[in-house]
Amino acid sequence: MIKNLLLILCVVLLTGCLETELEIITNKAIQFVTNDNKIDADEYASLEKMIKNSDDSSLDRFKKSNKHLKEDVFRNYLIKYFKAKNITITENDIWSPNNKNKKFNINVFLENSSSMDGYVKGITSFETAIYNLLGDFKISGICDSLNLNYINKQVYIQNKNALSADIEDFIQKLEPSTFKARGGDRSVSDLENIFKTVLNTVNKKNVSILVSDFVFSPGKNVNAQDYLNNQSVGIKIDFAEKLNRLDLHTMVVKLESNFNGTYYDKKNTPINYSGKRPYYVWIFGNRTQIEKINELKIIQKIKGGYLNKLVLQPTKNKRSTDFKILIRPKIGEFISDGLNKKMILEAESENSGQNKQSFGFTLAVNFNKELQDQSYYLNKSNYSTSNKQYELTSEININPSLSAYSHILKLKTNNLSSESLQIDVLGKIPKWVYSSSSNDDSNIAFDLDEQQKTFGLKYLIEGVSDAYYSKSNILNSMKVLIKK
Amino acid sequence: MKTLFSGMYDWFGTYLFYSKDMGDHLNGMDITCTDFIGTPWYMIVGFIMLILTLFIYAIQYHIYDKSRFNKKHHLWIMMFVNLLLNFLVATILASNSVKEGYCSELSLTTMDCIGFGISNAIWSFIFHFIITSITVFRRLSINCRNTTFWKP
Repeated sequence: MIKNLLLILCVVLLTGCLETELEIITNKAIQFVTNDNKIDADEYASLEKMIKNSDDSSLDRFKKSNKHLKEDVFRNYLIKYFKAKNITITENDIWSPNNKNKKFNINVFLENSSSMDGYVKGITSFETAIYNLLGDFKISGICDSLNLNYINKQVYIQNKNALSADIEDFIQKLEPSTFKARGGDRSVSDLENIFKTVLNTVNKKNVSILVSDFVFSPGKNVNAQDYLNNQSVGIKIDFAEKLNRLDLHTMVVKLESNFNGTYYDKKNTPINYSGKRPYYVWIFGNRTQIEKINELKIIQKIKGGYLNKLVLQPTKNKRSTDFKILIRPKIGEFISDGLNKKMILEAESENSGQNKQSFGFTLAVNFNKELQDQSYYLNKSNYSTSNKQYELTSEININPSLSAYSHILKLKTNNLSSESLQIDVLGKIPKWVYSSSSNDDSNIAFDLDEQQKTFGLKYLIEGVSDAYYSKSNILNSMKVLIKK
Repeated sequence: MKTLFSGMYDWFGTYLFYSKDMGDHLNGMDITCTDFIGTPWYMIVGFIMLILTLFIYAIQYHIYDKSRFNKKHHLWIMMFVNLLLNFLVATILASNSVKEGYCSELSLTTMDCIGFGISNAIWSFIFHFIITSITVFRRLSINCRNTTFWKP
């Protein structure tokens, strides 16, 4: 009996030492992190080597077919593992071979037509916000050189590789008189021409920022509707041509400032106006550049904040999204096996209670690396499912144990069938664009609602959106295989 | 092997003694809930159960192998010891693994650990029963060659 007990004790102790290869690797990672709260290049290399040399099939998920490490998958796993173990480590604390700083030039174009004068009279929130934005770009570490320009019918270069003092001179010290003195034909805003000029400057090494009120100026004796339609088509063509050559992403940020000056309506009639007016910052770049700007939260840090944001992105390469099927909450039954392969097996509808005959499952989705505002992913009209009988709801993830995921999507149907269910995130023009757009601004001096709108904005954004989403507007896709 | 043991334990364990969540945990659902890539407890406990049962059988039939310990009730005593030890091993290992951390999507309780202990004890009983029923092994014993449950 005593012998047996001793044996059991030994077995229990021995099994305590039993570790899978994955556990050996994660324990090693914990050991590295315990020392200095980070995993440096050497430590990362040793973990990588352990994975490469292992034949354990459970580590296959971290390897490409050529046995090289799937960096993203492994890093994400480590972060999730540390979180599960209550070790506070951020993504930046884990060394990555992709962490090389890819700097680019930032070309700023500030539209200086007469309609912009009201934004720079005295000290305005427009000046503060743009000064702050450019300052943040300058010190962000991603900016190779900051080039400042004014733009109307043509570009007026102010500073190449601007220093802090130049930024101050460019925007902070601006007054209508200096604005005027800095040149050009300030009589009209030919937005199509401005876009064409700015888009020509965008490439892999150059990001462009365009700041304007984006109010169309049809002018006197011109049919405003025809003018807007023509401008919209022209803008669409300009963007479509650029999209053929570059992975162009466009970020549109709506801000608001105090305005004191002359507003020019659709017939170019000058109207004195003092009050709040919207203006916009458009940022053009490729995905990497826009991602970097997003990652640094430069837009979020703008003094006074922004009202709305929209990112238009090419749909040529549909992006897959990092998601997982949760074991619960669920309606009905399914087994856990297969969930990691995005498969719901042995699915059964609920057979009692208020959800009788219904089937539902929950996805944890990571939209953190996506470019739209997080609120965009809460709107169920921005999703589509291959089976329209599925009802989708989206909410922000508040479960700390799922902190690698930003949103929780709940899907429910009353007609369960075996199928491959595709859930798409669609690129759409948000409602704020329509509510911010005006068709007739002639009564702006008295119409409070009109004062917060931008003449022709709808046509502008629709033109750009048509160029982006002419063939497909699917931004992201998720596929779940359901088998009864 | 992993599939064999998980199939064996899940056969009735998750219906009678512990939750499906416990089944997933013991099947190796890792702490990040990524997949069944964590410690395969079913396999580990299953191996221990087999080794332990074989060892306890061997003690009575081949190591000790005395005429004064070859009756039916002696076999019952050994079986009870085996059952108890396997219950303890499974319960202790399961509760230690739960204490170390588990997938947050699973809901596990102490009763699940005890339930797994009971399930493992029953399997050890079944294996002990099978081993002592196979004549080939028993014939190697001098004094216990005829000791079975039904034929002392």
